[in-house]
Amino acid sequence: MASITMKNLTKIYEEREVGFFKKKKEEKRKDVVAVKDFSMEIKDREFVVLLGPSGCGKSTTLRMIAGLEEIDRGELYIDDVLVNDTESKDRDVAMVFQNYALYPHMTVFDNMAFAIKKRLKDKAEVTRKVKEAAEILGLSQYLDRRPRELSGGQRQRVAIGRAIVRNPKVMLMDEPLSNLDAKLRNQMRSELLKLRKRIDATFVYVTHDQTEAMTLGDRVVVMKDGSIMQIGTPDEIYSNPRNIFVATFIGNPEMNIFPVSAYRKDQGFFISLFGKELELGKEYSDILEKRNESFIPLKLGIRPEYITLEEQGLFSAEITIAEYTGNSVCVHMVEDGVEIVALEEERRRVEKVYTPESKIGFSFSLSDSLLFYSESGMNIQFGEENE
Amino acid sequence: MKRKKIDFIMDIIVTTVALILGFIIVFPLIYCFLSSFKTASEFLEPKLFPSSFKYLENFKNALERGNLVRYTLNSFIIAFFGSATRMVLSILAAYAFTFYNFKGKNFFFFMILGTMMIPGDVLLVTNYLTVSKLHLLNTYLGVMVVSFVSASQMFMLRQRFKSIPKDMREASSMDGYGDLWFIWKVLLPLSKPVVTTLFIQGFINLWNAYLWPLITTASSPEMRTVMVGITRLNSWEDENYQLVMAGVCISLIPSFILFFIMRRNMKKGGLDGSLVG
Repeated sequence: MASITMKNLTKIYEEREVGFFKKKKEEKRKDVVAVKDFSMEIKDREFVVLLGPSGCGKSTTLRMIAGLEEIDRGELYIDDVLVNDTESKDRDVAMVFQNYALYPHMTVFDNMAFAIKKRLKDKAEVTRKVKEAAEILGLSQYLDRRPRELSGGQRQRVAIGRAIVRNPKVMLMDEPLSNLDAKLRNQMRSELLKLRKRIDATFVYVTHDQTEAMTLGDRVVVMKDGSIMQIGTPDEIYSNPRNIFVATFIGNPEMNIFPVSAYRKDQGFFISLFGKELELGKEYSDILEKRNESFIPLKLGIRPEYITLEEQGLFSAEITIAEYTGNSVCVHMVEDGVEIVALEEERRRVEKVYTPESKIGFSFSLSDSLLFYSESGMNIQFGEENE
Repeated sequence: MKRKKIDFIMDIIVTTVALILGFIIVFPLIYCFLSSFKTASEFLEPKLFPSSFKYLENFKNALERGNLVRYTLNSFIIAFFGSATRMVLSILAAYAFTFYNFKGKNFFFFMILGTMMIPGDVLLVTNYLTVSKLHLLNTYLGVMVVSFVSASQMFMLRQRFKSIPKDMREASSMDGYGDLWFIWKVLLPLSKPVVTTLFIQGFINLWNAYLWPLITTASSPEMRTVMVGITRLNSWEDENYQLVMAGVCISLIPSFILFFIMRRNMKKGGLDGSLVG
């Protein structure tokens, strides 16, 4: 049973350029805010993924939960107990490091046993626990090998084993799969899913890989520059992103973003796109109505897979390149200097060939698209203010 | 074909040069060993080998008359405890300089490195005065104390420790191990070759030290180290070089033994497999 509550967690690094021969005046002082007001509640046994580009503060947040970084401001509760000043060994958390950090001079058994030997004096019990963890991870036959005699995937498993053998309340994982090759990563990902069901712990998982985030997480926290951009289930984040950053960060290929302007005409709101006038649905016009302006700069976002390529399309564009990937084709087009990407799933019809520099028609439904305020980048359904 | 021939010739040249250099380095040792079996008159004859290896008087005299047993024991105590203390202090300092973050870390480290630029002879007088004021003259501690700290050892150990990922320390601290546990269980096993080499080097340095033990034990003959003792075998009225040679041979034994015991620890101890890749 372990819930984690974070209230305005903040981490500031004082970055100083200290040169040995530099005078004091020349020392540059600047504070870097690595994590800013991170607030969230993680429920017991939940799997939460922190997702974001590198340098967004996701690892720092994880390290604050682990107790490896001091918390400069804010409160951290594990099971409703304030643990800001509790040492990491007393927090009952275990962590899987990005580069595994296995002890090279110890065998697999010793690596895993080392994690519990300090607390557990009963040798038989240690052996039993290690064997149990090795069983779960399929490492039983490698127990007397040293890390260098293992493959990358097996080392990864030992690193995980070292964490689960402790049976911690909270499991922290810092990009554990980022060093595996693509095939192994997929395999380990599904193993993590299975593992999760067998371990009674709350998971916090850091990654920059959106596939991992979407497949593993109960909830995903998208971060940027130390701030939370959005917290939601993978589906919420994909289909209803809070702002342009989340919209473009999630999804591959990236969401198309077209600058448009909404204007009042007759009884509703219209936008014009590539010379065509489109009426906005009621759900949008109701929101825009409240702003009481006749002209609102917006950005329209549409995911590539919602764009249909057809001869009699509403719009037309010139194909620049088409990327065939076997089960789908990604068509890049350009119109009025704006790049458009469309993803055609399942290339069933072989005769449909996309020749570069030829014209093609395309269309999409406004109900599939999202509208963002041009200035703040916020999804208009979430209000205007960006935090 | 031609290439191979040149390589072959080069091999021969390099090997020959190496052999000659090696012989030049080892020759004094060989000469010393052979001379220790010579009688006084034999020693003055221009020949390398003694007439017989059965003449052991020199060894006997050196041990009995020269009190070499006591001196060897003195040297051993000083060299062993001196280098062990130095090792412990260096490990702790190097650990702090690698894994801790504190104000002025780099400044202090450069200060320590800076001390390497001061030649030891310059410090001889001040060190002597300090030790004498501490009433440590003619004691083991007085001979050892100046070698308890070594900037170069700290530097070498820090370089080694820096190659060990900080994640390992974090992982072990999350599992409840403190700094000393981490040093003992993880850091030292991973740094075995460096630690062993530095220990042997320190031991031999202290064993071979001459000037400092000479002045700090001047008034107490039974506290002399073996290196000081050997020179005393050769008094100004009676030149006993063959006796000195025997003494040198005896004094080399502990260093050799130590080297052969520790040798297998000096092999490369890599970090293979700890990390990715």
